Amino acid sequence: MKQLFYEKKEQIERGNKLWEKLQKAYPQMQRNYVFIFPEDASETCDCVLRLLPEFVRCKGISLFYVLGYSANMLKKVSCASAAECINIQLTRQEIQDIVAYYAFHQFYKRIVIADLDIPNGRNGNEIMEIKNISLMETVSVGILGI
Amino acid sequence: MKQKEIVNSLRILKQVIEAGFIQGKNVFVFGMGIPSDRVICYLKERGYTICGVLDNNPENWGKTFLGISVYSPTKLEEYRLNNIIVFTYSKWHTEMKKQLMKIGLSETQVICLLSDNQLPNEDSSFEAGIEKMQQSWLIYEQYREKYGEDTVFVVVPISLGDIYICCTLLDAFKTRIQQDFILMVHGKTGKKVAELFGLDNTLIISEEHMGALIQTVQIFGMDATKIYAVPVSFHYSIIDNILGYKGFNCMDLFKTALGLSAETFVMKPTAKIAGSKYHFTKKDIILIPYANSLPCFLPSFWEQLADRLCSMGYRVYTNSSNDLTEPVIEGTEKIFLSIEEMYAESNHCAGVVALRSGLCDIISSAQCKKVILYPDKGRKYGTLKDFFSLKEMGLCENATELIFEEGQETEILTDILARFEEKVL
Repeated sequence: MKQLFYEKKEQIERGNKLWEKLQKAYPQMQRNYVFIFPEDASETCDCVLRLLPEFVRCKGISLFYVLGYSANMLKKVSCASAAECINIQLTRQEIQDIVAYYAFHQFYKRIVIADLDIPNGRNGNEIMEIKNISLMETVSVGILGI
Repeated sequence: MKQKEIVNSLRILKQVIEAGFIQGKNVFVFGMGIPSDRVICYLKERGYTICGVLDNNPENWGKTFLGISVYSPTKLEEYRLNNIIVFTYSKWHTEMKKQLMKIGLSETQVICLLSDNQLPNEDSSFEAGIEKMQQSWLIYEQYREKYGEDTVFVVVPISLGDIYICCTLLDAFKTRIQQDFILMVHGKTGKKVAELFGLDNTLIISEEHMGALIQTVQIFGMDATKIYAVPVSFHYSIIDNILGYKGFNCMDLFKTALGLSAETFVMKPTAKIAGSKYHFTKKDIILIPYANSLPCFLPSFWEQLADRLCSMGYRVYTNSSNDLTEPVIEGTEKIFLSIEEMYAESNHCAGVVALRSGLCDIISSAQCKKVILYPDKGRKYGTLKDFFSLKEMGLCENATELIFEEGQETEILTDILARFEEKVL
């Protein structure tokens, strides 16, 4: 039990430090949307990519940031919309740290986590089963809010 | 909002009036929720004029709230600024005050109807958050030590209706997880609701412990903590955006949170219905005009309804827990029924006419006529009625559910009276 607590605490602290580091390295980040891809090559990611042009249009975005661990995924995001996209490749552990920090505290409002179940408790898969809501709809309405 | 918080707000308002602060001033109320509604009714009843309701949501501008026009806060610029008083009651009071001061009001012209301990703690530093997380974890550990590593906790915060809805699904939930669980509620009322369903695994915990367990599941996740916090929505949840979409309602929210399927059987309460303690018959109608989560309607609507029902031969009662915050409707008798009484007595009386609240869930299985009124409010997808409808949730089949639109009172009265038009013997 104690082990679980200390591991999470350390993870959150690492996430906090990493976020501060990113803010310093990319001062513009604080005024733009930040996408986090905790997984690579999932169906959810594909839906996010397909809906990205619509999201960019709805929110009037000209620039956004992407945090991911897979070079392949980051490349796909860059090509997915007309807006300028700044890719930041982190390690998988660093992505998990940022997500843990975000679950602990909403440190920034314009964060989009491209996953149905991360952070744990989003229940995206359960939502789809209740009213026959498709994956595309769950991503569009639930995750992107468009 | 909790009843004691509404009482507190009205007490502060009373002090402000007695100190002569609002005499001769142009009075505005910021916000269209609770206790704005009670503040407006309280002031109107004492002969004060309210110039307007201020709201930041452009969709509400031009509408009326309890007969008062709703404006953008910039409307204040049309008045002599030093002669204005604005009442706020939100935890965002500090932000509201700043907004109004930018328009030109002084600090003393914006009066908060919340006491200091209802306002958010300003210490939002990372270190303070970690400290709070640690405290929450220690509380969680206490429960783990007492009930074992594998016990599942179902944590349902304060709302009466939420506890009722959760209880309708717990049989199915137990079958799904194939093990026992502990239902954790705050306050005796929650336990009483669980007892209606024959549940004896309920634990009453303090508000502080409730908050600690919810924070623990927010940070550590459901899988690691074995805590089902329903229907809690965290900042990272996606459920808030989904509400109302394709008819996704309150019951669906609970099913999702408990990992149940759409077809899950909604259980009815099993408690026995005793004879009427109050000798209610089919000549009696109970009005429930107040809720803790939705703003009330103007008393004049209920007065007209009571008057018409009385002229049809009914005896009409107002369910009121507090004379200050829930004044008895003129022409009715005061009554205050406990949860188990409300559940039982609603089977003996002719009917209940209620503003949608948790009590509507309690009476949902009753045999009497039920008229449920929903304020005309919407979300991105659907209305409050779509989201909380007793019928849509599968809690009952025979309720009349109406949306209360300001200005349509006559039509709504006609609809309600039609339900009770059979001659009373």
